[in-house]
Amino acid sequence: MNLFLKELKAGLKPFFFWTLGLFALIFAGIVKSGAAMADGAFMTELIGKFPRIVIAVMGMANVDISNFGGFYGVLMQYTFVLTAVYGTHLGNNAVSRESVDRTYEFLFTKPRSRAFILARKLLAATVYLTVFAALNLLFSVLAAKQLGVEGDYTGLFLRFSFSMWLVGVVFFALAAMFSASFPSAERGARAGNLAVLGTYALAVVCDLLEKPGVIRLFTPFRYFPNHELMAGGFPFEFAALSVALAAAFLVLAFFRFERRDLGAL
Amino acid sequence: MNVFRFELRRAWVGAAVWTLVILGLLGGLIIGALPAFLDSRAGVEAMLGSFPPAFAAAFGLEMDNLFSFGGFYTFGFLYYSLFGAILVAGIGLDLFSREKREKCMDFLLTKPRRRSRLFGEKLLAALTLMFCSNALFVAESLALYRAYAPAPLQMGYALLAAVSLFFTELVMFSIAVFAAVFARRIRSVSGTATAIGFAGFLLSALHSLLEEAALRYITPYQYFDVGKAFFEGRFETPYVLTAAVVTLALLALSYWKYTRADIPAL
Amino acid sequence: MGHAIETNKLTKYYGKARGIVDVDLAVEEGEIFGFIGPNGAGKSTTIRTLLGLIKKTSGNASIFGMDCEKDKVKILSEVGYLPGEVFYYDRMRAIDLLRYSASFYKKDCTQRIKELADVLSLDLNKKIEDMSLGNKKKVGIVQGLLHSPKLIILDEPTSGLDPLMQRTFFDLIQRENERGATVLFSSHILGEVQRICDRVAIIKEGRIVDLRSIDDLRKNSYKKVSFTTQSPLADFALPGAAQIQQDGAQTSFLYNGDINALLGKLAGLSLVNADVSEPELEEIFLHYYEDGEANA
Repeated sequence: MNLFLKELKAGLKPFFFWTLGLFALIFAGIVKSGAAMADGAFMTELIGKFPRIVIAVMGMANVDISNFGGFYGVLMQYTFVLTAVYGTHLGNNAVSRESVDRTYEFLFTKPRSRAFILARKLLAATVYLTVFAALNLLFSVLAAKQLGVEGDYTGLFLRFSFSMWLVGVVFFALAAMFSASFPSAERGARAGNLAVLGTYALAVVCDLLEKPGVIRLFTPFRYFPNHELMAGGFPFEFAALSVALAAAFLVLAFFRFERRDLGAL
Repeated sequence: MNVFRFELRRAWVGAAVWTLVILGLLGGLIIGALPAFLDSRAGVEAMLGSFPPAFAAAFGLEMDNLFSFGGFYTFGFLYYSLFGAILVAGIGLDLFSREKREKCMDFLLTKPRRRSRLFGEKLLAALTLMFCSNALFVAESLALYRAYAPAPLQMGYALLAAVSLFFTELVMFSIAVFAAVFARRIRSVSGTATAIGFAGFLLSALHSLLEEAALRYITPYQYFDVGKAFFEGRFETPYVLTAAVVTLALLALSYWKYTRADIPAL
Repeated sequence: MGHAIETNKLTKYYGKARGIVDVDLAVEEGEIFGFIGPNGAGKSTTIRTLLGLIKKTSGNASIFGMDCEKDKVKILSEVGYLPGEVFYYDRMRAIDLLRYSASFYKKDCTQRIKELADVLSLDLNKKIEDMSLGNKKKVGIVQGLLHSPKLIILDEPTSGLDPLMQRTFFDLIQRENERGATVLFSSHILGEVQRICDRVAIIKEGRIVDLRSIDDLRKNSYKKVSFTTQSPLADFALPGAAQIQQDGAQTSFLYNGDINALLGKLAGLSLVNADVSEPELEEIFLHYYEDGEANA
């Protein structure tokens, strides 16, 4: 338990900064939603006239910013990216912080199995990710209330926040796996960050195509597309896929971590 | 100049790969999507026709500019900026935290070189990499411009627009150098570089979403308006000044710290 | 002969925390000067101030008559430094690191690198991160000596070297010394300082508490004496004996005086066992500590 608490403490400062970013994004975004929506119908129609590639690159595919939900969806695309980068950071750090700091001899000579230690570290990171998503929900509700946005959007906020959590968890688990697999911490981190960029690019490709089909499976950024969440639905099959992927990555992470040589990486 | 050569040797491969990604992105977007983009003009104009002209004008949509090489080039620039920022943040963090990360400050700083000289050589190495990367970017931009834009060509304006990436990169680079010098440790260069790049990206997205003028002063990707450069051949002075002040201040502070800091024993 | 190192009331505070206070040192050119004290006494702080790694708070420090801050670069080109802990760049072979190191000096060091590597039997083509601690240390030694420096500064250099290699290392240092190099050798192990040094300064809690030649230290040095008698002694007293401890039949003390007097005294007792040895550093420091108390 003390290891878990220590991990929580170590992650507090970065968490604070990421939360600050999230807070700024959501409040500023919602503050301005009214003005943006005023021209929303026009903009939405205008955007619709552009070729798909342009819309895709702008991150405006399948959105309708003439209503609050649509605008919020665009905002959430950015928080998804934020969460993916944060999740990657958490995953890398959980696995390789001691190696980078060259304090691994201290921790990994304690009478605990590596799996025990890694589990506590990953759990602490998951706590942060969960609180991050919960704060997304909280900030959204507060901002909407503060600004007197009409209608009850709690369900929408909840769906987006949960999706955000799932996206974060997938990238978190992937980064943990990379960090446990690569011989050097820097290379593991690089792989994790490239995965975020690569899957984001793939998401753009996804938007580019009328029927992305199987490509969608490879980019968590399109597991929970705006229009589905806005329409009140929730893609449970993709939620299940996220959980399955995260579980698989984590199992691999444990497996590789147990077998690796520890050293100053 | 041995430190300069050493840093170049260590950093050039990563910079080269990343530069290729940016060049590929630019080429891919222009070659792959520019024709379709230009073709969509008729549809957009038809739709705008159904609105009062004043309404369309309020959006500042100038059809001739929007549906041109320059318009499309401007529009992809957010992404070139993002990738460019990650590249140069990576370079800045890598070079200026190298001894800190690998715990060999003692090694370098007990060599008979002034710290100012070490800082200078590292800076020069980083700028060389950035310069080479941008020379390629500018060359590709101009070549594409020549190939895809109809005459008359405004090569001077196009050059200014392409060079704006370098200016934006300078700002992001100085942020990275500042972080590298002042942070107690840099755990992961790529992680921090990605975070810096995306922070700029999110600020930029926020800025265009909110259209809040004040926000632009803290949005490095918007300091240099590519559109303005492409169509008017200029940047906006207040933002250029902001960029210059931010860059010089961060580099000066970093220099101050780097040349004076006590190096603790391990 | 001039001073290789001279400090005058050299003081360094880390914020409010003490580093070193009023350190006066004068190391003659050509000598091997020992610098000894327990962990945290200020050995590294002194050395790092001399090397310009940290800035002094007050006082003066000069090397070869040049000011340690103003003429840092000139000084460093004549100095070889081996830190206690050696970390070098990743993804580098030993030879690459050494070439990089050599490129900072205005002379060709290729031959010298080869010689030193041969003496230390170091494989130059191996990657540094794959090396054992001892081998990394050897890279550090070559790195510190490759430019034939006029002043060699060693900060607890022997940890990680096996006894055989320590001997090679000391031989190497002595040869450098014969060639004319001055050596500043910091350590917390009295034995290894006594082994090669001409003079030694003892530092405690940031201040120099004693400075003497090794010969003097030997002559004047404390012996740790302990003996067991057949029956417990009532009272044991001997001029020059300090910290006398008696525990049943066992008596132990630190002795500083004529060795004949000691043996004479012991000869009068019926001994079961007797042991006269070099005291551990801690015991010497205990002595200095008690002196400090007495003077205060």
